[in-house]
Amino acid sequence: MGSGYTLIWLPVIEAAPELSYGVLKTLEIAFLSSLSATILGLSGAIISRYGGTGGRLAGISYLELMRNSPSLVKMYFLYFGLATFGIYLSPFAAGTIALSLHNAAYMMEIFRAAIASVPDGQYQAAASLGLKSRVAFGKIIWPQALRRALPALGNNWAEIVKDTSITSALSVQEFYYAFTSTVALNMRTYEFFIVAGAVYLVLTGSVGGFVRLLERRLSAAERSSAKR
Amino acid sequence: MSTASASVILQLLGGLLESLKLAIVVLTLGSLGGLLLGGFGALGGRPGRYVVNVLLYFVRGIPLLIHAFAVFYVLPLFGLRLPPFTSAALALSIFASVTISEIIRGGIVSVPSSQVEAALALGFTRLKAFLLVVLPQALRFVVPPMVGQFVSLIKATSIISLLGVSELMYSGREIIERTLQGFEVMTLIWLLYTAVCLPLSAWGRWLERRLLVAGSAPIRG
Repeated sequence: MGSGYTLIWLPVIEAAPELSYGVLKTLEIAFLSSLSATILGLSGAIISRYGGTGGRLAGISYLELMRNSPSLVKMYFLYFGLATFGIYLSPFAAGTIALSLHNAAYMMEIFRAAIASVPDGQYQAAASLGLKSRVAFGKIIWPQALRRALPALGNNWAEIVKDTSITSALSVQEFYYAFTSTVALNMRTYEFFIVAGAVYLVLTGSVGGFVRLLERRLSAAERSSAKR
Repeated sequence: MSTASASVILQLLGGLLESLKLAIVVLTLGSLGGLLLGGFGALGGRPGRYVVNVLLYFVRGIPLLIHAFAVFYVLPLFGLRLPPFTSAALALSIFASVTISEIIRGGIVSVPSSQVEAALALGFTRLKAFLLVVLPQALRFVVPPMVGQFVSLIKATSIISLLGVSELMYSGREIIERTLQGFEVMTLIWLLYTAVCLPLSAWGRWLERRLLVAGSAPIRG
């Protein structure tokens, strides 16, 4: 440690209410963005897989428009760019929508690959049993695709949790914002840094735990349905 | 377009240049660091794997902003004061080294160990066996994901603007606050990033497809 820096934890404890509020905001943004990005991504994957040439082109365009620039660009675009037309989004809304739109592109790729990885024989088998294509997708293709997509989805959800920190650029008062503003007040940089790292490790670790739980559930469901 | 727009475009191009400068430093240092760290991870036995896994755990679980914060504000507590650009380059290069090391470790491990044994039997030293036999084969698996990682890292440089380093996003925000041309400026920035990243990521995917085709054929000696 540098010249006489001693760890003092009292300021961290005093800042606990502000930091906890930040964690809640972070969770709120992460949950809303993950949910809407997953739904958008799945819809996009279905449209580009089954929507003919138009659907495929729309899917590719969206993908390339989103994944070749940082999510911060979309945040500023929604917040500062739309203001030019008199559309004023709150920092929270701009941040959450930007994270949703940005990550929906990655989710779309994950779902696309997962759906494509289900062998054609499964479609043919479903058709030969007389299942309508909608039922075949819901009951046969989708459950297999979801299982294959889950690990990658989990990584993306963890990415979203980390990327909530970028919304601090719009002064959304989530955890990173609370962290930097309390550090600026009391200058206990080292202590706060350790706490911040630990908080994010716990948050992203929880996402990992949740995904493993889902994986177990899905494989258990598969085993029990195979027995029947 | 008014005359103000011309100067805006010029200023944004200046910001882009800073971003690219940062990206080039980070990609170079990150590749070198990643090669060393990945080599250690693949060949350093249990300790090597352990070190790489611990670093990956921290990089994957904690936002880049916090890592960058450490370089900008925690290092000075140890008496190490760096200018903003150097701090940004250092923070991103460490981040890049760890993410690239995992790609390189995977590539090295995917080369069958019989290749090393054969090289040793032919009288190669261990170092030569690695450099001349293992590495060239590993690179085939390394290059496509590495190009993808390059694209992610170029995008990640934008985050450094939050710590006050003047690059594309930073100059964009500065212009918006001055001119209130949010839509024009952000559309341009969006296009600039896409112009840099789209060719690179398309190239990466082309390499990946080619590898899939080539990978199904036996490696010719």
